[in-house]
Amino acid sequence: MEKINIRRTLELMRYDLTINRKRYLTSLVLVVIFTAGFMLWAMRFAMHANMEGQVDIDSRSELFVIMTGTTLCYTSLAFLLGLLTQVHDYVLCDKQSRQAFFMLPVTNAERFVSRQLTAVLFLLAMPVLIALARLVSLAFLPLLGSVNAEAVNGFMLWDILTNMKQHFLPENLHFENSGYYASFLFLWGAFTLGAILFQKRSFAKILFCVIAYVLIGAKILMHSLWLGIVPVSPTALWWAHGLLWLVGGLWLGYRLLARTQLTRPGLLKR
Amino acid sequence: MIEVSHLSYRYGRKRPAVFENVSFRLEPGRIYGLLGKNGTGKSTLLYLLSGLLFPQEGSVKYHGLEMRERRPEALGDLYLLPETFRLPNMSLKNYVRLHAPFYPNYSEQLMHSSLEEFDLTPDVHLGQLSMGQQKKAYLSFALATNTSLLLMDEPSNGLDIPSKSQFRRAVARAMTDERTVVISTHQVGDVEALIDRVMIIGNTRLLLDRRAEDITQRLAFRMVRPDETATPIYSQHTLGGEAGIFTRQAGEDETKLNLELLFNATLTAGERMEQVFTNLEK
Repeated sequence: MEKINIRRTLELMRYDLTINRKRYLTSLVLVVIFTAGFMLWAMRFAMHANMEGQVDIDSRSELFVIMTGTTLCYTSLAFLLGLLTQVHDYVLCDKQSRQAFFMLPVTNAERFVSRQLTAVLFLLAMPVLIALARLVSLAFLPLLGSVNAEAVNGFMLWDILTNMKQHFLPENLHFENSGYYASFLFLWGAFTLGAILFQKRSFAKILFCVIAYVLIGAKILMHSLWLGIVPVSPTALWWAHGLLWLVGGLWLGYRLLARTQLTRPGLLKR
Repeated sequence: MIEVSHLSYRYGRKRPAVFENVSFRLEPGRIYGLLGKNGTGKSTLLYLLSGLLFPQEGSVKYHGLEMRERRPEALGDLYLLPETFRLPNMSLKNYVRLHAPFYPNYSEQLMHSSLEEFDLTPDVHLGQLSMGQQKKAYLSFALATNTSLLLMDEPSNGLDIPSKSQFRRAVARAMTDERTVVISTHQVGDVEALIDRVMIIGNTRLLLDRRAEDITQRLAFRMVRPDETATPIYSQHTLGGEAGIFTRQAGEDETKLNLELLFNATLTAGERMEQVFTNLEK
């Protein structure tokens, strides 16, 4: 593992945020518009869903649709943000940018940590953006027609987004698993498409997506097995599942960056 | 300071070799002129020296550090000024504020003096500058990084006539005994007076690597006289007559280094040139 110098990492983060500030700001505005659009749609057309208790939640089959929709929305946002800002790849978009970026005297680990910190920054900004989007959608709602009881229930989407954790508890996994995995498959599908469209030659990225698909498949299999046969507490399983994603995601991300940031002939060709 | 040993490099297995078993050293306090025909690998060599590309065989060591490891200590002590570049749309002050912290020896004073040399002020906005002015601002920053190794790829491209001499003065001013500058160029006239070591590459190897003063001590660059008795090592037709390179005779005045002639001679009469230097070394 390479050394990480905090000062250099923060300088790199400042460099990234400053160089890409217009792209980041545009993306944030797009996130607000996208979320507001989704909320408007949900408030206008969402089915009647009373979510006061777990019994209500379990009894309503249409909630599954909402869950899938919100998960899709959430992951799409993350994807949209990632794609538009090209959090990992903007600086690699052309030969000149790659040269400038690679000549900066920092380690790959510092580049990775700096990018992760930027991602965390955006993650922290997400609830604020969603709240903002909600305000925007509230302001626009009267333009679309009268607010009825069903539309009011749409606001519960906010609760789903903010209290998502409880829906990912192992006991609920059977319920929302499909939406969860569907959303991730959608995310990675879009990611692969983005990789093909925007980085035609980036085989490493496509390979990374394939690995991600395999991991998701393995995780689905693992869950099915664990839930059925392994006698572990739900909480332990939840933490194991979270930890696996955190470690696996970070490791894969690091390997990807370490791999692509080793400047190879291909990186200087275009 | 930079030790290149048995370096071999090719862009892909099926592509022809750019370098095969090339070895040389870059010493501090010198300005190297890197010359070569189009596509012979001048830029590639700069990328290899700066750790942007990795040799398939051999090594590039900077103060003992392998460049392929891309250690921040090594990268922070060298600067590559590429031929083509894209500066962000921001003020020069902001650009410096963002980039300078990565270079521990960055000198604000050198930045100001270089900008002054190029008739620029520190408060310019990069997005509002012409390409040539951008290059001057970028050159100023490259010089101000004060790195021990400065690699410049076609630095005088895009500079107007007065700026070329400003460039020479700025580089000369930024030179120190600890600093090494490598200038890769086709514009030999722009750097003739500046360089003190000539490197010519071609046919996957280093064809010539000599100090300018050694070259002018051993070779004479002059017009071929009508009553010439000595056979030139190389000659070519020019507008002013037949220009040639001769072995310098005892008592003959030292002539000015003619890089264009030397370059053509090395490419077309490489063996004879090599022979002259080898014979004189014996």
